[in-house]
Amino acid sequence: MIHFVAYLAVIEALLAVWLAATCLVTLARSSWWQKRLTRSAEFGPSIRAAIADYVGGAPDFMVLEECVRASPHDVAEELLAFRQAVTGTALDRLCGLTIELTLLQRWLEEAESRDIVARRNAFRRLAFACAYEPCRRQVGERLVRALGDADREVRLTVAAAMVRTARLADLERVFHLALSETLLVRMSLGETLRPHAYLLCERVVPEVLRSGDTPRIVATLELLRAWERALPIKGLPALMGHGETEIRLGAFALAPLVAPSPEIENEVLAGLGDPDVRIVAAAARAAARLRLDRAMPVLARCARTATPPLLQTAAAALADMPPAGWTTLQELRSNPNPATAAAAGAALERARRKAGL
Amino acid sequence: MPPAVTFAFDVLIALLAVHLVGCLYVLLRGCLILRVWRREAPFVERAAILKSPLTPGVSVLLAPPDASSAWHAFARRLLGLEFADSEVVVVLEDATPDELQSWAREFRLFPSLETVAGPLATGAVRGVYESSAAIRLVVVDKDPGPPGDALNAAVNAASLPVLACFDPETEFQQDALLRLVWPMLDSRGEITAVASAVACGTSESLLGGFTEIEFLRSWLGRSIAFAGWNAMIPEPGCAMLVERQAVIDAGGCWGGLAPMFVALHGRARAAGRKYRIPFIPDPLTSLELRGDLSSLLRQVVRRQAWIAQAMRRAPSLTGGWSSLGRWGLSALLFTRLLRPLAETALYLLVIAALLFGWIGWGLALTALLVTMASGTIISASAVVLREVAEYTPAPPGRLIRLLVASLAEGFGYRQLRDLKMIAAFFSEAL
Repeated sequence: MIHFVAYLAVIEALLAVWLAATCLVTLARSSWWQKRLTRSAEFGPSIRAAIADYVGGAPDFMVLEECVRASPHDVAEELLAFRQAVTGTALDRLCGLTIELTLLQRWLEEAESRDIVARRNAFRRLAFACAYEPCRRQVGERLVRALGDADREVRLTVAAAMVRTARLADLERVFHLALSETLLVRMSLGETLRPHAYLLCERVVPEVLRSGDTPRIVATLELLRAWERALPIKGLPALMGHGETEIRLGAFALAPLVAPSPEIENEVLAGLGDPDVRIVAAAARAAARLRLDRAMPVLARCARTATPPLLQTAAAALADMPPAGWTTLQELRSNPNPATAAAAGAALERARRKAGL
Repeated sequence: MPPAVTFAFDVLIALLAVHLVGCLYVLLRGCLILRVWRREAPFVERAAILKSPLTPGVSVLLAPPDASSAWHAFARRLLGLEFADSEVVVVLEDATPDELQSWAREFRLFPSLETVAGPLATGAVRGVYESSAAIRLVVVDKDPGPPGDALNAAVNAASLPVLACFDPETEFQQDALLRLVWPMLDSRGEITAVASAVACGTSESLLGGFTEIEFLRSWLGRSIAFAGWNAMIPEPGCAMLVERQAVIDAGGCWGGLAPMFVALHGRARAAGRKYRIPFIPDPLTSLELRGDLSSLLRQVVRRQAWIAQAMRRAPSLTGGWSSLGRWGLSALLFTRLLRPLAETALYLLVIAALLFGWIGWGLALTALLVTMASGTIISASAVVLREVAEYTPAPPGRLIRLLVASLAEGFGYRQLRDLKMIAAFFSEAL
């Protein structure tokens, strides 16, 4: 017993020494951090006042030079904080300060850092400065190269900065980046690209849709859907009849967003007869959004014969097509199949309440 | 000293040593994983998630323990969650006409013609109600059933592909769903469920320190380190998202949320499917504790019952005892049951040996100190390793307070906690 207790005591003593040393280090770090916060809080107002003076037209930036020497990080953050508050010439002067204070050069060096956090900060600041043409010239192709950075946040920051230039070549690069990223990033980049959706649909999207590369086509259809606006998409009927289910599902979701055409209506009707229930559900939703009266008999048949949840989808589609859809649902309420009768009744009730009846 | 007693001493000390080394390994791993997560700094694009039609719809489930009007406020808060496509499904068990009436008045409910005939077997559904107000609320009134039956009924009634659960005892952030859903969007098709950390609102007192350490240990170890092994069971009180189809495939809720997570792991592992159940280390929910000993011990008992419930169900699930991998459930059993038993038994043995004169005061004190120190080292390590992992350090005052609490908890609190843990485990598991 003595041996076991002694062994454990020795192990614990060693661990206690390690723990004490780590405690001291963490306490020292914590104190340093607190001091840094206090210093930033002290510096902040004077930096902000100096920036405001300069942006307002004062020619002198001596105070800011001193601040940069003392705490370049604080000056950089204060400059970025002003980004949302100024536009036009004031923004140019603000961004121009980064050249005058040699901050831009510093950030360009930090952008080469292997430390992700330093690199992220550097690109965040460079992206801000690139709103000003002379800064953009100095940064050069660095932003384009950063689109291939290993860190996602760097890629996103840079992409947003490139979209702000509104040049087709840059938009095209960001669009292709969005296609190769995860859905989450695609959603974010989709928001950034939304103001240029029409231009991209005319110049870039058709080429991708013709590429035959299924994952990229699906990603493109997702982006188009995320934009949620009427768009000129060429060749959508062909995609609705594509061999790949994922492409078809994406194309059906887009059908209500393009100008109605007989080809699209025919594809929706064909989709309602598809053996794949996911396609039928997508076609039912498209038919409802398109108010496709021709689809009503097929939807009614779906509501009579299908199983949940397709049955509910068909009933909901009919509910979205008053008055004929409502009449059909009224008839279906007395259907001998209890699931059909319940779904039709619930959908009709919901639609009536929504319409305030 | 009789050889049997010597042997018992050796076994108990060895168990404590193994536990100490194991815990430190798990905490260290948690620290390294957290460091990587913090470095990755997952961005949360709330506006895009909120606006996009590509974000999956979420059904928020609520199965209150009773149908009283006390739950109206919680249901209202659930309805206020920020999310584009969400609904709230409330399942009331054995509600009286008065109680139903109060729900109907509060939420302007009308009887729906919709039927709840989902794939999970539940007690009989008496009625389904929808709201005529501009809110998406479905209230299901059903016969009482065994634990988890109400949740299964809620899964059946849910019409959206992802399910969310919030603990009625917690406060949650209104954007919790937006933050929970991002891993599902980031690794589409691979994420079965997501859970978040739970924060505890405590006082600056010593008991507040004990509570904080209690949460910290399980946050860094059982949540983060286990999530690194893809074997995480969420904490009680956390916010969680689960794919509806995954719950149905796993056979439902199995009596509670903890067994459900074990079932999700077990089924995916048994099928050899590539899956992940990630953990969000930032707290999206918080538990407000009163700061007294009884509320702290109540949380200890609740957490222990949560784990015991999962273990009790584990043998009957698809993945069985290896649902959380080869060591997952065994490690939990060791930490949550064997360690408290060993520590308590050791204290009793030392006292008995001292009374019978088998050992001297020196050895008895050493044995007691060594036993107490093992717990202190684990708690202090959790405090220090969290500091090492985080990019933003905590204020020095808070650090010192936690280190003092980790030292102080060995003098009475840990022994009391062990007794509570043992009692709670057996009362739930048997």
